[in-house]
This record gives sequence, structure tokens and C-alpha cells, in this order.
Amino acid sequence: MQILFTIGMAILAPPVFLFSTRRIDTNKTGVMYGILIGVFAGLGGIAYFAAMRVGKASIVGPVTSLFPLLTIVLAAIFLNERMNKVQVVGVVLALASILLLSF
Amino acid sequence: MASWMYYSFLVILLWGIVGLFQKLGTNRASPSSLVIWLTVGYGLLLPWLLPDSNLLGLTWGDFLIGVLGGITNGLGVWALFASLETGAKASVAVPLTALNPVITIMLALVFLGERLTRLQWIGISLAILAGVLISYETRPEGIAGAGGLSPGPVGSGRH
Repeated sequence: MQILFTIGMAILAPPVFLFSTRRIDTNKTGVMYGILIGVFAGLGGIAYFAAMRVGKASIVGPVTSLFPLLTIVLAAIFLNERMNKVQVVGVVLALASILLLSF
Repeated sequence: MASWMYYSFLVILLWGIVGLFQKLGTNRASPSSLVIWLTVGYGLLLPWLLPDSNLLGLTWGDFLIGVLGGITNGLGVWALFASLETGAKASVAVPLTALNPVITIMLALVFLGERLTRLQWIGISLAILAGVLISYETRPEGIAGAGGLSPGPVGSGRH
């Protein structure tokens, strides 16, 4: 599945280039983050399918869907992001709903 | 530790970090550039994946579905990058876009005739409410005219 996803992404890349500014940013840091996003997301996908293969989908699904929690923590630490109280309630509800939808 | 648990924590770690990198990346490159570079990142994994693949055993239908999955995933990530570039917080956009199973479930209801459990109905209700709450931006101090409900960013699904 990961290979097919990559093929789909590769098909999408040329139209994205043509329909945007027709300029690819080659800023070293930007390139590094772009490639790291692809590698980490791809490895995460492989780990997800591996977890699904050896574990119960009814458990693996809800557990892995908690990944936004880590992003929130990392964003607070490294980006100094703060949410207002309403958004905090929204995120808690979102995480709860993700768990419920996974069952 | 059970192997499923090891893999699951690996998923949380990798995808959680991806959310941070997505925000940091949009500070340095355009959304379309990031889509192209992340495709390169995906491609770097191919030498590792190809030896164990069974691509030749797939039907054209399976192949098409997988490729379409990649295309829709790419479009979603592109939209997520655009929302992050225009100021969405990672801590807000990532949980919001993680609500994408709601769309999958709705499509499954309509096109596959699937039925929902009571828990899933509650989950959908909570997701809609969460989407509204997450989109709530308070007025920045000293700036008049901002605030109220605004449309929330949308984006990628399960990577």
C-alpha cells in the first residue's frame, strides 16, 4: 500500500508544480523538512500496517489515533503554541471522537 | 512489550513528529514545494519496500485504489500545508484534520451501505462539535475586529 501511495503522490507532484507558482523552493531547511515529513510519514504508515497485522484492529486503531496529542505537546514546546480554553475543549472532544470512531 | 504496542507507539511518535515538521516546513517552503519534497521522502523508502512487495500480484482495481489513495492523500496534505502556511497552529490543525474518519464513515454509509454503532454516532456528533470549537479564534490583544467563529483548516488523513 505504501508503494502505491508513493506512486499516487508522484503522479500528483507534476500537476501541483504546474498549477502553483511553477517554482520549487530549494531552501535547505525547507527541503529537509519536506523530505523528513515524507520519510517519517512513510515509516509511520509501515509501522501502522505492521501493528494492524500483529494486533487487533479494534485496539491498534484507537491507540494510534492519539498521535495528535504528541503534535500538541511538541508544538507547545518548540513553537510555543498556546490554545484558548475553547480550543482546548475542542481538542479534547476531537481526541475522544477519534477514539470512538475507531471502534 | 507486545509487538503491536511497539509498532503503535512508533506510529504515534513518527506521525506526532510529522505534525511539528509540517508546521516548521511551511515556515520555510511553499505548500506545493513541500508536497514535492515529501514525495521525494516517500520515494527514499522504496528501495526498502520493493523487495517485499507483491505489486505484480495485484489486480488493476487494487492498484487503482492504492494510487488514488496516494493522490487524495497528497491533495489533503497540500491543503493542510496551505492552512499551516496561512497561520493555522499545528496544535489546532493537526487534531482537526485527524477527524477525517468522519468523512470516511459518511462515504461508507452512502456508498457501501455500512451501518454505524452507537459509539460511532456519538463520535461523529463529538467530532462536529470539536470542529466548531477548535475553529474558535479569540481576538488578539490590542487588535479590534478579529475573533468569532472561522472556518477550520482541513487536510491530510491517515498518512
